[in-house]
Amino acid sequence: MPKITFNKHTLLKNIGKKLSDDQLADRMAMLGTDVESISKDAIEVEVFPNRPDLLSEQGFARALKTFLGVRKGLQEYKVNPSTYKVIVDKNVMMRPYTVCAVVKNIQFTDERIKDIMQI
Amino acid sequence: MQLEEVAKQLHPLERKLLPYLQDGMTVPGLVQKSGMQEVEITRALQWLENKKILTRNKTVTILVTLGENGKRYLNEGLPEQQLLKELEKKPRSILDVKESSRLTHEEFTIALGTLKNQQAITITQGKLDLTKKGEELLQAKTPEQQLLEQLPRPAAALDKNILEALKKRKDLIALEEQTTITIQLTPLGKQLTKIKLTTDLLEAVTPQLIQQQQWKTKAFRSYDLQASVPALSGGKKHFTTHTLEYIRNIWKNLGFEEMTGTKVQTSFWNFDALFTPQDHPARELHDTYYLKHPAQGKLPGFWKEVRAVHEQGGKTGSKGWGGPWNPEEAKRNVLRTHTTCLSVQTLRKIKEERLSLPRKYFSVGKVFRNETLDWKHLFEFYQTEGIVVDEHANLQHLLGYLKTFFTAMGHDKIRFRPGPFPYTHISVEVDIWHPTRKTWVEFGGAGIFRPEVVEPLLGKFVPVLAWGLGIDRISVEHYGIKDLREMYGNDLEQLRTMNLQVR
Repeated sequence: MPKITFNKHTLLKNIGKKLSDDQLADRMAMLGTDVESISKDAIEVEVFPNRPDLLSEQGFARALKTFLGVRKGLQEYKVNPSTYKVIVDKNVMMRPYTVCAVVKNIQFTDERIKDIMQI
Repeated sequence: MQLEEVAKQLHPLERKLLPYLQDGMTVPGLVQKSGMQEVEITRALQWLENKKILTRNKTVTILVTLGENGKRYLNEGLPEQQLLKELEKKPRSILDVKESSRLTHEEFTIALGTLKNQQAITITQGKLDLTKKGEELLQAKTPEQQLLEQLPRPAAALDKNILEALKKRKDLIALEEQTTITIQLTPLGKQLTKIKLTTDLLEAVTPQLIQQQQWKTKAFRSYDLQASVPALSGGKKHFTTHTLEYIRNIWKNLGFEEMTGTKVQTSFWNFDALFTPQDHPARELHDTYYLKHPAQGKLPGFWKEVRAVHEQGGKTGSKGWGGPWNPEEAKRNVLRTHTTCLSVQTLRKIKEERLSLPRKYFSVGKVFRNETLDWKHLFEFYQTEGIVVDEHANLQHLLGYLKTFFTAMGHDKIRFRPGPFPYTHISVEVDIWHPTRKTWVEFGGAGIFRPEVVEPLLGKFVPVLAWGLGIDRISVEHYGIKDLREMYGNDLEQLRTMNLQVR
């Protein structure tokens, strides 16, 4: 089971609500992701493979915000049709589906690169 | 205690020995004086100590005796002396000396080393020669030989350095531990030795004794109620067995029927019937033990319905996992990785035997995972499993059953977290509050079987509450075991002293 380490301050900033360590650990656990450890800056959490959307601080904050009632409802993202093509080889028998997107205008910082690597 | 009372309780052996006792005496000394056997004396001394008549002081001395080689060298001379003799006339080459001496390779090496250390010889260009010291040694006896000649003697009386050197050599000397017991009379004991003891006490009631009415004239020996008796260990269940039976009883008391089955299962029952996709990581070799002989088992008659569910959802309205489902993969034999395979087999049995609903089943059984063995990982452990098959069952019932079970196990603070399992929806994970570690500890998973699991088995969807809980974790907490391996160990001392109270 993947264990992910989040920056606690980034996570809280993304949630937009002040929470004590105990509150945070309790709510995160009840989201189905057990908290392994929580320290001054970092929080380590166990994410099941069925929730790849929880593998980044932004994604996790999105789920927790809904759970805490900070911002409810399905998040809409503006998606445009693209001219790129993805070709799935016929030899891919098991689960022959894929979804891709091109995301533009992203500034890469050290933090952001770490996020991507964790996913 | 009164002096007379103590005197009355004495065993004949104690009575016999008592007049000979003096401070500082040893067992061999007492054998000589009293004419009693050594074993009689040791026993009597033990009893007398229990009655606080004397104390026994044990001192351990190490006696040095001659070893096999030691005896031989006393006649032939030590290897180094034999070597010195070879060099008596003139310097000779190493090989030459080695050949003409009757020493083994090992003896020769030791002799050479010893003499070099004592600066008795020199080696120049492969030639050995005596030094002045060597010539002196040739005339006199070496310290090693002097020591050997004194044996046997206590180690304390011998030169420590030479003794250490001899210890390192093969079978020159042997060490024996000798325990000497010296006695010291207590004030009570001193009084006792002074009074005259009758030796003519009655030891047992016999028909003769009653017929001849001897009891009228003679006194009986009193019982010594404080005497220590040998400890008896009665038969006792292994604490793991005890826990398993305790758990079985909880379920039976709740009206559950027991499910049993084989430890070897096909992947079909262990994975496929539980809607676990054929490329799921849990099916990989590093998690699961597959059998080599026989590598495959048989698929049950309805396997095509399971295939349909995997490939496109069957009649459930689900899309399935997609991709082809391979019956050969499903035939592979595994050591069951959970007892949930028994639950799905039971569901099929309900359909085939047309059993009426609702029904409740449980199992307690061993499961296997490919783990490296250490103090907190085992490759085999126990699970307790349960299913409730009921048209009206819902999640609240599930949580209720789990809470009842854990309360009966002695854990009343319990919480449920959402969890994902491939074959249940809704799924929960069960945590128990650890009062000393002040944290939540995970104890198992539970949920309601997905339609993709139930439909092919029962032919229709009925809510099936299901759970699988690790027993070892519960036991480890309860019995205070540090190393999981002890759960299946047979340390008699531990088995005897373990408190079997589960709650």
